[in-house]
Parts: sequence; structure tokens; C-alpha cells
Amino acid sequence: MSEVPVLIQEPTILDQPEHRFPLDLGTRIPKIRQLFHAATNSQWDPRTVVPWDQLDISRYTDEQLFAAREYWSRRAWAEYGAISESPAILIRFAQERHEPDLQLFFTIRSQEEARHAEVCYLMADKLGGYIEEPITKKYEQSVSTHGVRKMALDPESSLDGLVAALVCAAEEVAFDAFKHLVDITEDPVAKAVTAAIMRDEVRHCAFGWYYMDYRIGSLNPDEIAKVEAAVITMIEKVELNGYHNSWLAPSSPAADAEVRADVLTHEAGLGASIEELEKPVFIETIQRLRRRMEPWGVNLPTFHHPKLGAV
Amino acid sequence: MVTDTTPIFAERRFPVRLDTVVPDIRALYHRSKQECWNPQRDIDWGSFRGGDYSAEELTAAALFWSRITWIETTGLAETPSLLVRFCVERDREADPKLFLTVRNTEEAWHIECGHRFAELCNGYVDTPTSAAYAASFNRRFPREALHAETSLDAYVAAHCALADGLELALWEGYRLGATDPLASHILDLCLADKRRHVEFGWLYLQTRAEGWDETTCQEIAGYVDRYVRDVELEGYRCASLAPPGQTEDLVAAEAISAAAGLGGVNTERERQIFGAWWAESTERLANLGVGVASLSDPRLPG
Repeated sequence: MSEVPVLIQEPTILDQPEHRFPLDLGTRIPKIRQLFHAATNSQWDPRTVVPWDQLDISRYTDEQLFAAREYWSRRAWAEYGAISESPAILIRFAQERHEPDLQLFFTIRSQEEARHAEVCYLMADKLGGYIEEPITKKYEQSVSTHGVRKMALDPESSLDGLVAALVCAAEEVAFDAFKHLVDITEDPVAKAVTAAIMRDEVRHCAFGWYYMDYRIGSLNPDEIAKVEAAVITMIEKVELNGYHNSWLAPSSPAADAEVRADVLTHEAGLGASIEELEKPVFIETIQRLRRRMEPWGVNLPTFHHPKLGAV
Repeated sequence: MVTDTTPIFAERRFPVRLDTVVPDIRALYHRSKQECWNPQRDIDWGSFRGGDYSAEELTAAALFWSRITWIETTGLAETPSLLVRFCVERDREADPKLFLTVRNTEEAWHIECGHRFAELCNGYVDTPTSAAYAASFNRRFPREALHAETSLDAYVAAHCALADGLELALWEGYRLGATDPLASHILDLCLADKRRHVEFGWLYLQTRAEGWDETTCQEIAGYVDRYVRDVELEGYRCASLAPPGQTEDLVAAEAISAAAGLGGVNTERERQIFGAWWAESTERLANLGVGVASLSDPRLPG
């Protein structure tokens, strides 16, 4: 028997009437328009930019290859999440008629997320096969969603909070993780994949900071408080739940299996990192976020996690 | 003002299927990446010889290019909505999702090009003079695309195969009459993308058609019929088809722009294009089992 689809029936920005005109298309945030142009100038194709013929899987054990397939599949799921959810932010930008620069940049951002999903999928495939879902169902909770679509479509949700949380915070964590991977990954193909993704992530992060620099001066204390709350939620409920760093997921047999896959992949030089190496990177990211947001009036509290202590 | 609530499918993320299911659409996605272009780098914006045209011609061209840019901006919100719809509806293929991410970028390039060329002519115009015509753009396509009660296949038929098909036919008409080198170059670059956009729509319908029953075919036919009557025959893409009093300035401007070789078609040609597009589209739909009622509109050529 086929499954009955579940419907969400909550107020969204889609319920609002549309007002197309006046239709401003001029450059209003030059730094973000430049980012759009830089992204246009930096397009790449996962099938051709990565030296796939240099991938020699005979160098690795079956156990390492299976672990790496799990790791790269998980990366693909995370990138797919951005394809599935982040376009809702563009719908919000357009529906609320925000600056055209934001809309133009987000069109290419979604394409970049698609390239990332594709390149991670290809990597898993070439290692022996892409895996479509977590081997242990319980891990789905950590990687399935970070609620971006719901927030973006919710007219009551702070758009500034969403950008600060998703882009400034989560993308910064992702960027640092990829930069770290580029530094430590030994396999030339895995390294090329991480480097290609990282180059796009630079712009994704920059978008968030440019946007908030542009917006922050016009926000009142209540709006800044919403930004702060959104960032805290993203860090506590998403990042500290293992969205980008599997060893931060709540301990369980499922999470432990994922961490073991990361360890094996890392030992093989095929792309993952491990708690010992990622921990200082993650802590530095959180500390930097706190420093950068403090001038906005956004005060990030000390976060606590069993594996990190107080950060 | 809040109107009715839009029901949206709740996504069940896993399994995340990324394998190729529709090879022709995956190939289109790959082609798009390979054929990507850059409006800043690939167009010699400084080469425009505005002094070759009269002030009237430049003003007309600015209005024409503004209008086609207004239409192009539909994609800014519609394409991400369609992409999200593909992601939240169970068992939809990965290939359209990947393709739509590239389509949206291409739409952004078209918008930048149209805006910039209008600026070069005599300045981009950000609002139609007719309030009624301006209001006719507020079609809420993003809501329609995400609304769970909208058939996704019907939406693709109306918007990706037919509407994009009409746009392609019109742009080919604009290109045919364009003699200005810069306008011609912009149209050529955009046309290459638009051909893929239309190909996507029909390829997807062909893939899906095998699973359609009579009820589905009738649902699609009804949706397409309503779309064409309520949207396209009201002048969404063909300004000459808008109700009297709304677009006379736009129609006149387009004729002047077309005559100057700066892009556009006159009313007679626009209606010929519409008629030919409709005939071809209904034939292609019929081949997929979708029989659409004929249009009898005295404004269209017999």
C-alpha cells in the first residue's frame, strides 16, 4: 500500500499577495553583487574539475572503502539538504522584495549546493557506491534537516536571524571544516573534492557577513535579540548535535558507527577528520563567531557539550 | 494581508536518491554546466553604439527590454519553488532538481542582461504605466508550484513546457529581427539557455507520461487550458494580447524597437508566433495523451 503524503498547513509567506512592481533590479549591496559575479566567474563541473582517474581504490582495504563511502554519502546528504531547503530563502527574498543582489546571488548558491551534492555523490560512487540513507535509522535525526525551509517560509520568523544562523554560523562551521579537510586529506582526489567545495563556501560565508553588515545598523534591540536567539539555536540544536561533526552527535550505537566510519576514512586519507583534530577547529570557529557577532549586540553564551566542555 | 493557508507536502528526506533516473535530463544538467557563460565577461557592453539610433528608438527599446526583464524575474521565485516542490514530493527524481538549480542561475543572468541593456538604451523602467497590467503579474506562481493540491506534472506541462516554449518562440522572433550586434549577442546567449529550459519541460513530461491514466491526462489538459486562457491570453508574455487600455504603450514601443533592430516583434508577428506555438504545443501534448481544447480567439491567426 502506498504511503499517504503528510501535509503541512501552517501560515507561510506564500499565503501573502504578490506585489511585483516597482521592480528594482539595480545594485543595492555592491559587495553581494560582486559575489554573484565572482560566483558566475568561478563555475566548475564536478565531472571534469576533479582528477577522477587518479583515484586508485586498490590502495585501500574494503573496510576503509566502505567507511569512505559512508562518509562521502553523508556529505552528499548534507549538501542535498541545502538544495531542498535553502531555495526557500530565495523565495523569501523575492516574495518580500528584498534587494535584488540577494536574489541573484542565491540563484547561483543553490547551483553550487547541487555541484557539492553531485561531487560528493560521485566520490562515494567511485569508492564503491553511494549509500542512499543512514545505515542506522537513528542517525537520520542528526542529518535530516536544520529547519531552514520552515524558518524561511514562516512570515513570523526573522530573516536576519535565519541568515545569521544558517549562513554566518552554520556555513562558517562548514567552511572551517572543509578548510581543515583540505589541509589533512592525503588522497589527491578526495583533496581535490574538498578544495573545490571550499572555494564556493568562501563566498557562501562572505554573503552572510556582508548581508548582516548591511542590515545590522537598521535592526532594533528586539530584532537583534531574534538574531541572537536564532544563532544560539543553530549552534545548540544543529551544530552541537553533529550536523557537520559526527562525533558531536549524541552518543548512541548509530552515532558511534558514523564516528568509526570517519576514523577509518581519515586514517585512509580519504577525506574525513577525527574528534582530536576537529575539536580545536570547531572551538576556534565558535569563538570567532562570538567575537564577530559581539559588535552587532549579539552575545553568544558559553556553550556546553560533553565532548567539548565549555566553549 | 493573509489569505488562505497553502498546504505543502512534508518532506521525508531519506532515502536521498541521487542516481540518474532520467538520463536525458541529467545530460541537460551537464550540458548547462559545460555551456555556462558570464554576462560580465562574455558580452562587450562597451560596444553599444547608441548614437546610431534616434531618441525615440532608444526609449522604445528601453521599455521593451524592461518588459521582457519583468517577465524573466518570474523565475527568481518560481524556480526555487518548483525545486522545493520536487524535493518535498515523494519519489520525484534527482535529475530535475539538479537541472532546476542551474536554470535559476541562467534566469538570473538573463535578468542582469535585460536590465543592463535597458539601462544602456534609455534607462530601465521599473513599473508598467498601467496599474491593471502591473497587477496582472501578481500570479503567485510560487504558491501554485508548492501547493500540494497542484499536480506537479500539470504545473510542469503548463509552465516548463508550454510557457517556456512560448517564451522561447518569442525570443527567437526577437532574435530574427535584431540587427544591433549587442542585442543580437545577448539574445543568442539567452536563447541557448532557453532551449534547454523548454527541452527540460518536454523531456520530463515524456518520462512521466507512461504512468498517466485518463484522469491524469484530463487534469493536465484542464490545467493547461486554464493557464493559457487566464495567463497567456491576458498578455503575460504577449503584450498585444492584454485587455484594451493596458499595454498600448508597450506594444507601440516594441514595434519601434523591432523596426530599429534592437529586439522585439510587431503585433502581427507576435500573434503569428503565438498561433504557431499553440499548434505545436497541443500536438506534442496530444502525442502524450493530453487532449487540450482548441482556442478560438479572433485575435489569433486562423
